[in-house]
Amino acid sequence: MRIVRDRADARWLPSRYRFAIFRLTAWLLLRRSRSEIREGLVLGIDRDQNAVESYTVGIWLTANASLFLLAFFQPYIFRPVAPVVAFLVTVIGFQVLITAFAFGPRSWRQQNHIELQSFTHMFVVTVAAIHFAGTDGWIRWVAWAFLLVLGINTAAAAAVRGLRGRIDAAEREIVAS
Amino acid sequence: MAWWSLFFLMWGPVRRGVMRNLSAIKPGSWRMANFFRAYRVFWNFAWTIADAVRFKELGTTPDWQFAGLDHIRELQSHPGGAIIITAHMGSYDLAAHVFSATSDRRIVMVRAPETDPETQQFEAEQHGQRGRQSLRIDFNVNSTDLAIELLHAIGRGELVAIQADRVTPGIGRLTVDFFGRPAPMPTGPFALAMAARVPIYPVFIVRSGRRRYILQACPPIVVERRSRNREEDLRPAMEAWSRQLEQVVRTHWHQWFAFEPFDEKAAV
Repeated sequence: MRIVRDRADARWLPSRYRFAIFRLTAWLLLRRSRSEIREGLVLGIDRDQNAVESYTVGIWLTANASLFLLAFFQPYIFRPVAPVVAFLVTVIGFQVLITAFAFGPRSWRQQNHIELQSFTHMFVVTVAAIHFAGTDGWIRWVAWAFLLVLGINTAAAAAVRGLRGRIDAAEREIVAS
Repeated sequence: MAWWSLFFLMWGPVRRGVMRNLSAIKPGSWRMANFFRAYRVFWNFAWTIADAVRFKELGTTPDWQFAGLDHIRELQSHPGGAIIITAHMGSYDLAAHVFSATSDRRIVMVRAPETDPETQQFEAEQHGQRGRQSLRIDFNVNSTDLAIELLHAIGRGELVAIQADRVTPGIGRLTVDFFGRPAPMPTGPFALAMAARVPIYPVFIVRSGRRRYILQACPPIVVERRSRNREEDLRPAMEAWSRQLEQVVRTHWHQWFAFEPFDEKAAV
């Protein structure tokens, strides 16, 4: 169990974030923050610790997937109903992906599939974005915006990789304190 | 969320048990309002299970704020062992692991056995796998043997953590006033404190947000042997515990995972 005790500034440890944009932002905030002692505080080091990051990414991914499905359904479904159908199909579709792992072969059920599930979700929506980026109509802007964010995250990942030594040293110092 | 909502709607007896408790915690409350309050209780319970599973699978813990630091320091520095009593709130298992990781003292956690044998076997296996050097988990299956073992643990300077807000069949109980109703509470922790002559520290675990918990320590309760009537000697301490629990549950009713009616009449 990796924890940091009595250090409120440890909330900005990049290890407590999953996506590179958030890790890089956390690193910048960690550099700017001063050592903040708060007795009785125990912070866990977990990549999915931050609520703002988890909810932001969750809503962003669901919204994009719903919009792609909306663009797909629009020619076939009565317009006012289409957004509701698109949203429901997205939620159910994501649920099916999650459940598929839980009810897969027996050996699968004994393992966690957090990484694989995250990859599958992101992969499916990215493939949809690439497809819709080449089409006409309003959806191509949504697709390009999605791919732009993905591109920024990739650039942030490269920056985090470059800073890896400094980030590790700063984290070690706080964890050891 | 959809799965959990379905579970909430289909698990009638437990939902009604929570609603009955809520009607005592919030006198004069509407039945419909308590239905939605019960949903909030289930919601928090789902999150604590998710956090516990995450800990089991990945070994990661949420964030914790220890409150009542004076009492925690007193508990840590108390010469000899001590008893921690807590309620079915927040994530009891996770709190025990975090507490043991931040403490120099060894903790013995006592859990009531599951009524279903298969569930009990699963629980025992899970705790066996997760066991740390500084934390031991015992199930209250044979109360006499366990009492002796716990006395030895306290003698060795260890901390014994027990949940004291629910009685299971076959364990000693005493009826005290709780939210204006007679409620049976387990006598075990108090009898143990009396025999070992150590204080009892009430500690509550409250979920304060997504992957955030508060561990609230309260002033210690002292159990004194004053007469030949054991029950009468236990009563003041148990009433003090009941008042303390009442105060915490009144504020954090959405965190109290008592799925059966607590009052004696309903339990019968």
